[in-house]
Amino acid sequence: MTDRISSLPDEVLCYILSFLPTKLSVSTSILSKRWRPLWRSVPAFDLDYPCPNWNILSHPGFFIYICTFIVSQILKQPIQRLRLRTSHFQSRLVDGNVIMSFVRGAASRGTVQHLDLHLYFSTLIDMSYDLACCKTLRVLKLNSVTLAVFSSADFPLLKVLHLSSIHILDGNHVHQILSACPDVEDLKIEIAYKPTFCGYEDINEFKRLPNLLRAVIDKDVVPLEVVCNVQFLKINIKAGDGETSDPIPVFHSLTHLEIMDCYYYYRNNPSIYCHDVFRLLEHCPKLQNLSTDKST
Amino acid sequence: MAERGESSEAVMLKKTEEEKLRKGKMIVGDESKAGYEEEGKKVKLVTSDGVTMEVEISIVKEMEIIQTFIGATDTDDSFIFPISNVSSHILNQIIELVKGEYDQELAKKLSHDELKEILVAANYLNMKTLFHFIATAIANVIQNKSVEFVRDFFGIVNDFTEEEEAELRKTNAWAFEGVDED
Repeated sequence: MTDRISSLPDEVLCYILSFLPTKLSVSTSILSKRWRPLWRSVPAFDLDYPCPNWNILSHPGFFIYICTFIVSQILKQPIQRLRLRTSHFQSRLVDGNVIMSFVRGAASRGTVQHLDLHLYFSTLIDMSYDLACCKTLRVLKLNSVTLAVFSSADFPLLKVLHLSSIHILDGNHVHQILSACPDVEDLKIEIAYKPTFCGYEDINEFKRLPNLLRAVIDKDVVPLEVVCNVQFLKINIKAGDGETSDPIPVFHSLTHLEIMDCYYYYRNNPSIYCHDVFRLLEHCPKLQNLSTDKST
Repeated sequence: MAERGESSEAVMLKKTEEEKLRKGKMIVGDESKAGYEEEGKKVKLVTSDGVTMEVEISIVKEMEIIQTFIGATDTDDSFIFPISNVSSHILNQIIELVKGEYDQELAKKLSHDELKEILVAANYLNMKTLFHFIATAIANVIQNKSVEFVRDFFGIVNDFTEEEEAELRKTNAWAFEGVDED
């Protein structure tokens, strides 16, 4: 058995290493001379490492070392997956702009398929500029950043788009982001902060996403029309949402529906709540499961 | 491991995607090789321990090495494909994994030797989904384990001198903290 495993090519071992956090794949360099250089050829970097005995905060050298390595390798090695979570050590150690210049560098080869960044709100990501080389993206997850789209963006292969706890500067940017990924199947858009009165302006600007299977959205930033092909839908109704008179489309495929966060919106008007929910349910002919906030 | 945090819905979604992919492949196959694509049809494979096994066509379709062979030659129903690198025990395990739609729970029941043998087999048969599945399962097994555990798992002989190993540990000290000593 030993011989059979060791006869496997390096690519097979690197493939296994690509599913480990980068900290662990580097640690395999101690196994033997053959393994020593392997982590350098792994096409994935995962710099998110929650571990009870190992605090990234006490190892800024780790982050700098890996970033320097990746940037120095940019011309040689394609990077397919990049996961970065710096929220726990914040700007005290590494500036958001430095991180983004590193991400742009890593993305510049045009091979990144999976990008997962959990930063902090002071980091501004312009999807049309910072991610301009990311046309190969299939999975994009951004958490706790400020997002903008100052010119057109294009992610033709994107299947999974998760934007969590996002700050936006302009409600129309959401429309531009959605227009950039027409094939998306799994969508999550949860906005943590937006300027007052900055919902979408014109519902006709939005196009329905034809391949969408699952969506988690804030009601005031994404019109229902966009997500009406889903099987699974979770709607967050935030405090202060104005009443919209947008028409409700028919959800022909919807089987699971969750309505969340409605307490503040409806607490003074429980009758409106019932009215709205029933109006929505009338448009879901295949619904099997419905869940709502326990507060309602 | 990277996907551990995903919700059950995301897993559900993945399965639908895989189903769609599989169906997509079937349709393409139907057009190109109409006679070959009968529902429930079986293909004979002879394993390294000399056992002839009849395997459902849907499973054989994932073995690209055999698909290449079928594409390159004129074969009929009676043809027996030799898979000299895979034992009957491992082939049975592979069939279970494919039928179980690559559930990670199934991987937990496999011994370390089985995991390694399936990795070798997936690489040899060129089964992409199985290869991905078993690589993630092995990554989960070696995650956070001691250097000795991982050496033992892969059957690695330590060819560093004590000085070389100490030097390596010093260079990237952060990489060697916080692993289980078992």
